[in-house]
Amino acid sequence: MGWERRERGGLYYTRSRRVGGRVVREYVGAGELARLAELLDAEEREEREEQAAEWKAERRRLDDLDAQLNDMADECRRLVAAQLVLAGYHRHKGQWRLRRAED
Amino acid sequence: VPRTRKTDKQADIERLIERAERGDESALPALRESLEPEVWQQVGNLAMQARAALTRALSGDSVFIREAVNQRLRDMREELELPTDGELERLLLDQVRSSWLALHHAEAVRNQSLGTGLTIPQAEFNERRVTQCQKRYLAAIKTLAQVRRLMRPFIQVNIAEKQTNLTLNR
Repeated sequence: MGWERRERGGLYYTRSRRVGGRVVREYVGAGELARLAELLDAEEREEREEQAAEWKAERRRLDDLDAQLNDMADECRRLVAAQLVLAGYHRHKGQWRLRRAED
Repeated sequence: VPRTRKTDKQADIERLIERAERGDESALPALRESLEPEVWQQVGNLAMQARAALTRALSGDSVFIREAVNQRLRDMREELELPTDGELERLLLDQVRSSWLALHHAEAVRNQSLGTGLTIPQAEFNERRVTQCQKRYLAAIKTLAQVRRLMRPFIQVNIAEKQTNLTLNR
């Protein structure tokens, strides 16, 4: 988005947007109307950036919560394995089986 | 604070488990010794911290919601705890309660975000979290049930080379 000077000397406000994976430049206009469009675009951009920052913070908070739960699940898996091994079990194709007693 | 890397102690325990599973009897005393009270305490604290963080996230500033969540967690413990449960089963029950809370929180985040102009990747992220929480919750329930079944006292009987395990009901 920005102002562009045309060959005949006039200043034009343009905005770029993506259409089907390609960037297309749109000529909005010149004069007061273009300045108003620029203000509205800036406001919209600011709002989008704020939302993106909020989402980033929210995402970090959720990732932290998930990491805590994953840590806990890891610890529990380890303790379950340790206790079952001590009780005489071993894993066979993902299943816990009791070790065969030797007489 | 969530950890991302395995500590030396955790790695040691895993090595001992592997050795014992391969039939190395000499690993058993060291494994038994490595499960010192601090290890249980640490995992217990981890579960408590996770629950506290989730309760805060779910209730925000509402004391009423916080109390309702805590009451439900207490009820769950009463409903699911068995008098025969040992330290491991109690810990796994804690994991079930935390995973239940995490699932509720993930669903609340997803439901509250509906119609708020979320992008498709953001909505997908929320949906994925609900699925992960469901899996974690079901896995926690399954592990608790499995441990309760396997850790019950039993008698092993070998008749004509055929091994039979008789479980004692407590």
